[in-house]
Amino acid sequence: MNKFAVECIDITKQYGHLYALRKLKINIEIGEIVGILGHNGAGKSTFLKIIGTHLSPTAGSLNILGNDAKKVRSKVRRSIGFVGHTSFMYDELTSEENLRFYGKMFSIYGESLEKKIDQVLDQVDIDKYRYVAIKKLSHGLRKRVDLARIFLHSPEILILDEPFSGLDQTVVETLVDLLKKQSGVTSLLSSHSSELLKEFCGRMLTFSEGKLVNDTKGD
Amino acid sequence: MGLLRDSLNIAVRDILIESRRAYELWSIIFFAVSAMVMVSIAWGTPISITIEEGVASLWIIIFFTSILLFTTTFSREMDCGTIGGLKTIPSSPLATLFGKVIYSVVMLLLVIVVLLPLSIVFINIQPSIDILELFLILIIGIIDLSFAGSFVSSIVMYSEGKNLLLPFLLFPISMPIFIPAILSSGKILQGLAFTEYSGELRLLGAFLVLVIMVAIFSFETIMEE
Repeated sequence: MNKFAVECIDITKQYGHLYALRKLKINIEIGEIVGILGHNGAGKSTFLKIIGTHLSPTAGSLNILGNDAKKVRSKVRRSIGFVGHTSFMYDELTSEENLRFYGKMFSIYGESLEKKIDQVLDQVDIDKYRYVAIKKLSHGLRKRVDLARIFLHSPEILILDEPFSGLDQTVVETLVDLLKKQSGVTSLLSSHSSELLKEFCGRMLTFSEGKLVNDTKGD
Repeated sequence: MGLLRDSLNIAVRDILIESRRAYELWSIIFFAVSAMVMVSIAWGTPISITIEEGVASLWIIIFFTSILLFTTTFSREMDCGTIGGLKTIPSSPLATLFGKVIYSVVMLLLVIVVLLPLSIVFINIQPSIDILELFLILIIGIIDLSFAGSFVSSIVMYSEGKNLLLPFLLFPISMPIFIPAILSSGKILQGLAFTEYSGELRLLGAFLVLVIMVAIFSFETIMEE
């Protein structure tokens, strides 16, 4: 049986009378890198938040790596790394303290947590900022700390909502390189810029008014 | 065990953040102390304040001080966008609430540690051999208040008028805490036996159970927006 990384079955999200998503039926295979396109209000973020289990769909069901996201939310969250529009880091804490907090919340403790923090800080090349409070870091550096956070628990699915917004070209290239290195990891990235996504996404989903209007696979 | 461990992690993180924003804690303490001085002036000479008036004043000051704390308990997570991070973690949503409760209890304990000696001078609360019992009631009261306040803070965090809504909602919800807390504190200071205020203690316990039950059934939905 083919086990999909993400399996959306008729997912609908409604806010009162407003439909954010309408009957979405999407399967994403393990290891696929998927770009999500669409204008503002198209439903990209809602879709990613539902897959990231931040929101529950009004109707339909969602399976992540064969698990029902509603029934085993905790297990599903362990397999997901989510980076949102805004940083999830606490301004007053240093990069290291933030990572230590999130690591503990993913049940990583002691020696293995310290090793993992060293590893992810090195991975995103921000080791020299480990003792600096997040509020003193630039937007690009914060983004890197956010990425370090999701690599802490080695997720099988990466969800990145507008990961390149507000970043300069150099930082974007660094992030793209970093994401390309994540072989075997299923990735979903949303952006306004199709050029950026086409560069490394094997599949593009285009949303409009809460509906999937285009699903194209590259070579 | 996992729930307790995660709650403690969240509480420790919040206390660490608070220690880096010490000016906020100092402003809460300053507010509490100045409220006590004003109450004392309003009553005339402290010696003329009765036991009932003294403990009622103390609890009113604790209530208004706690509002300053609960206003930011969840809204800061919301305003800074870190609430999203709490939704990525695999622990029970209740760990977030319990973590905030532990943090609030610690903060309010700090306020009480400052207020209690001052209350001897300003609102005529006389220390007696029963001071430990009074402290026990104060602790049970602030645990109840922290549960109610943190829960209300989570309910209003998505609202635009959260700073206005919080005291409006918290006031009626915390009445079942204040009435038994004030009555039992008064009875302790009058030197009455445990049996005289055990009924009020039971009420405080029952309220705690009720808030926890409501939180267990509704907090996951609240966190989701």
